Amino acid sequence: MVSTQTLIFGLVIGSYIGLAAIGFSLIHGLVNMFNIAHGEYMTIGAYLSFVLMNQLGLGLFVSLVLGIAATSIAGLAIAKFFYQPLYETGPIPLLLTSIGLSFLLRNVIQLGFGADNKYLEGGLTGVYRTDALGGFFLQYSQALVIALALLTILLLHLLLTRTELGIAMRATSNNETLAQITGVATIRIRDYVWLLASGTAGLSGILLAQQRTLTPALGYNDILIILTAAILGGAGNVYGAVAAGFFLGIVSATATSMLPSGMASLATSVIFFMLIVALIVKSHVIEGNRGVIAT
Amino acid sequence: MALLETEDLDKHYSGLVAVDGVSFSIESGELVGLIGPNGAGKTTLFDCLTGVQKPTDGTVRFDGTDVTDLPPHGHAERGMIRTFQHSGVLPTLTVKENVLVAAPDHPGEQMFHSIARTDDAKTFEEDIQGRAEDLLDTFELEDRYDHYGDELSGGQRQLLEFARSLMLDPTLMLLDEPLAGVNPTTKQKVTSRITDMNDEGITILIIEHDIEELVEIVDRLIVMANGQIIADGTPADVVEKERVIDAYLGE
Amino acid sequence: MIGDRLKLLSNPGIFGSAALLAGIALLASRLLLYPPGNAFVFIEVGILFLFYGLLVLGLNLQYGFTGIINFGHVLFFGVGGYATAMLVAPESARGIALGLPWPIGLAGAIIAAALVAGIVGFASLPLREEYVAIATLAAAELFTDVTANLPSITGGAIGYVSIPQPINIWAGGHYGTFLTSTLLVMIGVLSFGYVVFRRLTDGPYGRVLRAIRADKEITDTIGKHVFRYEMEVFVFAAIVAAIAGSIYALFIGAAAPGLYTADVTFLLWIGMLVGGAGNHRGVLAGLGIVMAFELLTRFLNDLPYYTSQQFGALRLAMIGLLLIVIVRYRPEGIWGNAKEQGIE
Repeated sequence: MVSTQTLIFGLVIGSYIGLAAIGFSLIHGLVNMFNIAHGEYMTIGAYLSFVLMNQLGLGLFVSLVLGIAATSIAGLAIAKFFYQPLYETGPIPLLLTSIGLSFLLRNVIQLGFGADNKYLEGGLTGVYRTDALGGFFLQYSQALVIALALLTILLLHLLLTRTELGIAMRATSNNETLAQITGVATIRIRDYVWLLASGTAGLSGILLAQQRTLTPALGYNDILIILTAAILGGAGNVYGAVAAGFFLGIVSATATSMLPSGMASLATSVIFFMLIVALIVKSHVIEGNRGVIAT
Repeated sequence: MALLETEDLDKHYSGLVAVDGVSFSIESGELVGLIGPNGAGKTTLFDCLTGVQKPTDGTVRFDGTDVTDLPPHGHAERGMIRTFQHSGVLPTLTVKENVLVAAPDHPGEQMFHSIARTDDAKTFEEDIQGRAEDLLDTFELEDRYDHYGDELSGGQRQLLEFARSLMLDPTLMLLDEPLAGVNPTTKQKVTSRITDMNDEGITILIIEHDIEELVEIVDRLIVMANGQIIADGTPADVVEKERVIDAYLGE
Repeated sequence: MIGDRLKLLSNPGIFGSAALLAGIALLASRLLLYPPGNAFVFIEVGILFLFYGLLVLGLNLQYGFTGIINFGHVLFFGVGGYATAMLVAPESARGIALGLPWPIGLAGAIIAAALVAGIVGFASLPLREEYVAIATLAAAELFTDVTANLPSITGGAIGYVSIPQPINIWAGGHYGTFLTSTLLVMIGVLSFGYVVFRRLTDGPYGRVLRAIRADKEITDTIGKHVFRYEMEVFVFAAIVAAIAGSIYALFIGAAAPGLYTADVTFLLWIGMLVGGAGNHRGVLAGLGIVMAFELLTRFLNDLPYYTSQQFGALRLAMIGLLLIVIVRYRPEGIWGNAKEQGIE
């Protein structure tokens, strides 16, 4: 059985992977592309919060709000400039562009801020300890991560079910086949999707930066896991992406706790392995329609 | 024995029934039209007949053999060739290459023969060059050999697809809306080619949306609506049937 | 007369044989060569170009000709390197090491690559193209992760560092001769590789591949077993990559996860797209251009204001930008054929 502490680590990791996977999944479902630069959107959010918190001395919550807003706008601008001209050319040119953009953004950030490790100031400090449930501790900042993730999911759910925009998004993205056949959401809807995706990525990045050190490769390090969560959850299925994010977070934490310390990074291997298995399974389950399979 | 027969052919997607219990047979030498309103399931039926999609249920038999689960290349190997709506011409190959690539059992299409440049491969290639040119000339594409597939007009593409199909020595040809996107002056050419091929012994099943185009040339009409066959007989008989008129009016 | 003789040399098969013979002759003659000190780095990068050249030709066969989006091609370079390392490294090495003669290492690399490619290809190729990209990328990442974390099997993050180097031994340990003869031998190997790839694609086989790239469904319907061709191409390219990986391990005497990262795949893709997918010489030239750019900018490291680490970031940022620009404005690359690549 998994210890409570491991479960908590898993939930924390799952929170920011799930948050990032939401955006990745939305883009995949509605813009029909894998945005490999999604990690850089997270990194942008993280560095923005660095500027806001460390350099401008603004408080945590103000920085969160401003950081998310700024990342949303930045993400949309980047998408409109680099991706929009290619919307009609298909998933591969967009994928290649996103890889190039990932390199470009990551290294521009490094040029601007330097490659050294940075630490966010002004985050929550303090720890809650208890002997209940086998004994565990929970940092307040970790609790914040989980709480914000859950809050975002709730808000997203309301958006998808109660607003016109949300309903339009769901109609196109929930059905993978339909999304492939119609493929085209209007530019307006796509713009909103970019705002959402970038905003959640930015939030994920800010929260991640509080748990780890801040480096230019912050988001890039996790892009494959985020991608795995989005694919496991089903293209365009944000609920699936979130659930898969938490699932992978717990898998990762469990693997790390069970592996001998020299082999801890095999935890990521487990995740890649699951991705490959998921792709194989999907290719046989979706039969007769144009899901994941080519002819 | 019928050349092509299907029995209770079904194709479902989640919630959607595209083909519903379709059974029919076609004898060797027939020229049959398959008509019906949009969404009747005609192209899906074609896909199921030719291995492009797997039927959910039912069987397809070609010349006595069960071909239901065969992939498309298996059907082609047995002489069952289909064309595509809106052109199955390969856009990044030249007109001549489009025909050459269809040649079956080419030794040069195996890795070893290609690398070693064996005599078998060379001779075969020379032979099919001649054959391809003959076919293209028959279809009036003789001055387009080196044009790329996407540089042709709709009617020329259809003729190119015929030329390519003949390269495969078909016994049965399934033509998916061969007149779609063809300008009126070329339509006559296309339909007379179809009857020519039928006269030479090729059994043909054509999907078309417009009855008028087909009525002149076919021996028999099968009508589909909502995934089912609602009429099957000579053009004269079928056109009278109430159900057929309703189906078309309803759309 | 001399003009005719020179023309013969432009035939890659003859050129390659000449280079190979020259390399062997150099080793046999026991001549000691002393290239000027700072020429070494150029020769080293030139040699690396020749190895990567074999990889890019294989990648081009997959993408430029058959339309297979393989983002994990470096995997097979690594499989070749590690298979050879495990068979040939002396038993004192960490990880499995059998100390066998190098030809067995090469053979083992080929067999290992065929097996791995068979599995990866079978699992990935039926998927839609963007998923093939992800699956192959994941397979390559899985490989480097696993090899880095199993010290007792693969030597861990350090890998193998004492693989015997046959050419070095034959050169009597003299670096100048070792490098030059390796350069000549590899020119020969790459030339042969080039000839094989050209013959494959110039003829009817290449025609089928291009048809598959144009439209898989239509091509299958006209009687070609598309999946079998895709597997053949995938496995063939993998074997060539593994041969390159094997010889590379025997050249540098090492195999480690850091040699087989996604950065290599990325370099291959950029080189291929810049040069022109679907054109063998084009992609080699494109690879050469990108590698030359990286080499030459290394000398600019001494600029004020930017540290060399920052310069590295500037270089990578520019490469990323280059990829974006190529995809947007010149997807067929410098020497690619836009019509054949399906670009309007």
